[in-house]
Amino acid sequence: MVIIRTADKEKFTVDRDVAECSVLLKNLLEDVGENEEEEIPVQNINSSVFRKVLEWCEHHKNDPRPASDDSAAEESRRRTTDISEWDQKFIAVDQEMLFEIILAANYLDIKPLLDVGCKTVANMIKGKTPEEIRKLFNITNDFTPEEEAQIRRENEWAEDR
Amino acid sequence: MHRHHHQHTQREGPSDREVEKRNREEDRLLQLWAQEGVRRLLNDSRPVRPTNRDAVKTQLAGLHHQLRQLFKKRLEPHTNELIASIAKAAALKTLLTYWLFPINNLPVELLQNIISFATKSQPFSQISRTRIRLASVCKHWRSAAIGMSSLWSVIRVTEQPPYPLTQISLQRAGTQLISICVDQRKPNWSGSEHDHRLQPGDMQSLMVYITKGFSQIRELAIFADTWAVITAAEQVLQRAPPPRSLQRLEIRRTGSAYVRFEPFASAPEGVRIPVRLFGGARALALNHLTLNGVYADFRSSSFRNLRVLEMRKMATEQMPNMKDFYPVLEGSPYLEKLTFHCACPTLTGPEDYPNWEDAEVKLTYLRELALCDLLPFYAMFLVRLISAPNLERIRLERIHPDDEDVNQLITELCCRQRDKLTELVVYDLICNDVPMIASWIGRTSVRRLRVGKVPGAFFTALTRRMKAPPVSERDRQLGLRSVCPWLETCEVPTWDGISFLTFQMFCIERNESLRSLVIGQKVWDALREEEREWLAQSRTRRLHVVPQRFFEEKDEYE
Repeated sequence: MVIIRTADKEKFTVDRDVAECSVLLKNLLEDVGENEEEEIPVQNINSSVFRKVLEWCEHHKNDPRPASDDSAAEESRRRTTDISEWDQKFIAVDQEMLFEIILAANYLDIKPLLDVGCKTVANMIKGKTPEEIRKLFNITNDFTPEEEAQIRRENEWAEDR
Repeated sequence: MHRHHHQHTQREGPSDREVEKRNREEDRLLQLWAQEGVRRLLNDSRPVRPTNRDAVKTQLAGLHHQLRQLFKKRLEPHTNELIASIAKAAALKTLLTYWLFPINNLPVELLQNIISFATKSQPFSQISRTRIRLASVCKHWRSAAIGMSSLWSVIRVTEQPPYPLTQISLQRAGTQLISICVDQRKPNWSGSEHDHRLQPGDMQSLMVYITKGFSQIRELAIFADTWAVITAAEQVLQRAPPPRSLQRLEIRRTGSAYVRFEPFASAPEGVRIPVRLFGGARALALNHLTLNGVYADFRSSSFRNLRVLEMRKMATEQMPNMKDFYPVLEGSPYLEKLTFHCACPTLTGPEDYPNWEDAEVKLTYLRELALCDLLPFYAMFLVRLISAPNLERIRLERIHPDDEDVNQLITELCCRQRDKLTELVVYDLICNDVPMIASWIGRTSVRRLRVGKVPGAFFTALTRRMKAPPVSERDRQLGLRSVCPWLETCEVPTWDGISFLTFQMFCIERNESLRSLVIGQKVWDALREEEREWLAQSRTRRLHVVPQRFFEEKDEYE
């Protein structure tokens, strides 16, 4: 077991194999060795998000770890935004939590969880027009009239296929 | 935006019309200044990301109050300075609300990750539209999208000259390796060799433009309807040096194998003379070649070390002869997929056949073999020629009309003992010899079977039992086993030639292993109500009724 302390000072006692889903924690744990008393701080994540991340790690602790330098596999991974049923239920959270999970997965270096988060957002924006995306995320259209004209032309070319 | 009317203290004040006009002008200014303010704030503060959401929420609440006060003041006589203050506060409110949405605080590499998933997971034909849309959301997204060169490396050219989108995509792809599909087919092509979507001259100039950056191209697919346009593209490829990164080349012509040109001399050169791609020099990385309805020169060809070779729809005169083709097979020991669909290497005549009888090519890695629209004699010859001990999938379609030769083909397949074969597609194959079919399929390990337009004998054969090592307690007693005991999925695209009773017998016999029955909509529509009920009632087997397009070959470039 290892003890992990979140940004809001909450402590979590976690199975080592669960914690090791995170490359960051795995490396930190290698540094501290077998000293189970030592607390591992995760500075950028608060307890509510970390609890969610642990739930995911617990479920996926026995999954094979992705190879880090296989560019062909990386490319084919990006060709789908399918998400397993369990992960879909897991990630059915509000926008704020969804992006917190993405940021946490990125910080903790949990690639498969980062993929689940990014795929979820990708599925939200797929098939939508720029205006629909702006509405979805409250994004301001900040293009100058000249840029706007260029973008209009590009969209006309792309739609006229 | 709320609308407000000025209240006037003086009797000789402006008329209602003038007030309305002034309000409209103020609203316009307010909107303009607010937009400019947001733009300025976004550009100024983009690098600064608020970390404390609660502070942002408090600041927003303060702004709400401030705006309410300012709008109250607008009801009294005022100057444009008030409008400027409202615009400034409104701009700040927009910005703070923008920051409240977490996607707008993501580090750019995570936004790029999302954009990449949203784009690359789309079908080939949708990729271009998707990335253009995502680059049109706001400046931040545009810069994230344009800054990711890999996003622009898949290009489908369906435009007319001067191909503005293609040029933009190539420019944004930077030094990335590129997959390019020139798709100039008409959706409702008339079938006339004079009906071009893109004129041959335009195809030629497009290909010249593309081949200028040939060293950067990883995949090239060229689709057109007519010989003239395909020939124009091929002639450029004939002159081009062998591209060092090209891994996949696909050339597809829509028109039929035989096209009449009167006089023949007026036919485009590509019909009469085979094209020597890259002048016959070898494209070292090329491992996937698909030629569909084109005339290619295999003599001093650059085709070696292929992993996928597909030949489709060639007039007999345009098929390579065995002498030229054999080195391609022999030089591709890692071949994984081989398709002969209405096209195959030819023998110059029956007298040529004995020369090739012992020329077996061993393709250890071949997993998939398709023999479609061929004479049984040729199909049999190819089965003899290719030794593929690890073949997993075989497709036999429209091998007819000579029954005698079909029987010989099946005998040949029996001899080959395809015990690793797990997927079998049989369509439009006329063979009525039940023991022979049983003997052939019984030697395989078929788990997935797609079968259509075959005589009822085919399913009768599948209900047979044969001597084999026992696989269950019941079979142990009988000393027999089913013809293919591991069959899990049976797909039936069409019903021609199959009687329901025979099919029912097959389902009952295969009940132990069969888990999934996939039936085409046409088949389902042709069934009687009680037949449908019977198929649907099974507890161990799932029934899927699918549209006919489910059975079509998937096109990666669609």
